[in-house]
Amino acid sequence: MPVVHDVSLAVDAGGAGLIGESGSGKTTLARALLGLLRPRAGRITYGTADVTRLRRAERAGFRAAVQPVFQDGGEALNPRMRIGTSIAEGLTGRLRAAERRAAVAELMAGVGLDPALAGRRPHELSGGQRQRAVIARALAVRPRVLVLDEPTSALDVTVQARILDLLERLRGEHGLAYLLITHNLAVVDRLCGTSHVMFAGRVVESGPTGDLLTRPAHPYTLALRDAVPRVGGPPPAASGRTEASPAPSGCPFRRRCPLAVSRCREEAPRPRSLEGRRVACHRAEEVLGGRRG
Amino acid sequence: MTLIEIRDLEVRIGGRVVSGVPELDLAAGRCTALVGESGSGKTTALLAVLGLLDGADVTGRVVVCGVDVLNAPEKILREIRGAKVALVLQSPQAALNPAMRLGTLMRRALARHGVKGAAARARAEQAVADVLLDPEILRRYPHQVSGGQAQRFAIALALALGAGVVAADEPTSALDVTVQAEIVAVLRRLREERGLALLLVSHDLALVSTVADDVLVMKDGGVVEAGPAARVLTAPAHPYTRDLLAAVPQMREQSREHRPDADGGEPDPGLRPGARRARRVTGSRRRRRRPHR
Repeated sequence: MPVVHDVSLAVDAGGAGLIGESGSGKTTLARALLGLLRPRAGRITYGTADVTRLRRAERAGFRAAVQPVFQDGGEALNPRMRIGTSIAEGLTGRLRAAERRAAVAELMAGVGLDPALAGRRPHELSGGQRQRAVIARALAVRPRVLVLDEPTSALDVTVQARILDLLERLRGEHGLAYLLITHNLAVVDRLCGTSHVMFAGRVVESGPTGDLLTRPAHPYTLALRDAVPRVGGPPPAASGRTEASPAPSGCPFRRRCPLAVSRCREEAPRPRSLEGRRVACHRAEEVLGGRRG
Repeated sequence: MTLIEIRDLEVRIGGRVVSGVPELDLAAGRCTALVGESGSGKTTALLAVLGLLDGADVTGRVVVCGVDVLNAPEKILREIRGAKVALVLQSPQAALNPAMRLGTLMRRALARHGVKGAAARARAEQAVADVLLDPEILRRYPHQVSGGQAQRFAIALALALGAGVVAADEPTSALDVTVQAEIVAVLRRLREERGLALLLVSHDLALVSTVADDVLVMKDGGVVEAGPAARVLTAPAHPYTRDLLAAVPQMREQSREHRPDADGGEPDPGLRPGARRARRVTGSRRRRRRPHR
């Protein structure tokens, strides 16, 4: 059974967001993009190179250019290695010890970490500091793209805000492009110009992030957005149907969809262009028109 | 009816106050939330209510359903836990015996509180139905259910035992927003229909604002601000509460009211100072970013 299919997307300087529930295929897609999984069909290109057919020499360059930053910084760092040593691993070229120390200190300062922490081990840092260390290590190899998989989900809200500030600043300073995977729509809104909503391994809606959040065209995007609680807002809207498994035929979302009609059972919707976005829903016009069920 | 009463609670570990709550009253059908960052002492206060702080120096007064928890013998405390106050944790699957079907688990819990045989079976099925789960779930093992189902089962367990208070520590932090919305809907309904009281520990201020009647904001082991959620979270008096609110990531969206002709342009400016400040910040960043695209 394919777990991710018919996905087409581009990551550019504006940042691309992947949104969806657990099990929707977001992380699988990211792993394929990092070259950690080989897709059964389709193409993933970085610049002009096909990621799945890189020669040995090209692969090293690609691995440096596209760096992952995952949710739990603690797991990504070697627990027995000092933070400074972990960060220095990514540095290339022949460096003297003093140069290496200076480079590490500069990287740490760049992500808002006190260079004096270089001698600490991961368990001696807070969650936010560990996440900064992971980002510093990723930057050590001078990447062009960061694949951020739930980079702030494990953090307190104030720490999360500071990490988001950092990511926003680093993008400008290092000319980075982000592929951001999260279930937090507000985080995507801050960092990504374009967003892709995934359900059951398919992209069901793609478009400018602002359009998707202010006026969703797919009922699933609408459900995701309305489930987000807001300070002083109404209680989050619950569909009561999140347990329904994706339908094997027709539209995979139809068992959870308040707008499903017989056509949704008979015919799987193909992605089509509508008001500046791509959406795979037979009734997208009605969703855009404000219809809820 | 006051189910939980706390006066001058202080928990010391190694002489240092790790959690102090001067005053908290929780009545049937109400929800009080303890909010703050990791290390603020909110979970410790929750554990004190259940008399689960062996080895710590606890002073003050904690009365739960008429029982003085800090001076009660272990035998009485065991009757309170489960039958009066049920504990719901962030990862319920970790707390459920993996080798036991959920039905067996629930029957054993009921037997411990004197309910057996057909009466136990009937109560189990009723409780499961009350949280909108299929009774079939009682035949499954913990690894065969989703995080949201496990969390609802934990709530059902509380209902089956007749608990009047659910003490929940980050009950939805590990769940998708759509699943979180369902759990919140279940808890709201149980409060209205059964008079269930909820003591909620969470760092998610947006969630708290849609669920809680009263809020205690905790920092470094102390309460910095307390009051009705509607006041504390919309017109915070303490600078720390304002900082917490400003850190909540904001999402552009139109009003959730039915507005078919909405153009989705300017976001609702928000009703609280924190919201306005945070939006202004993201707004200005967005404008600065645009020329790069």
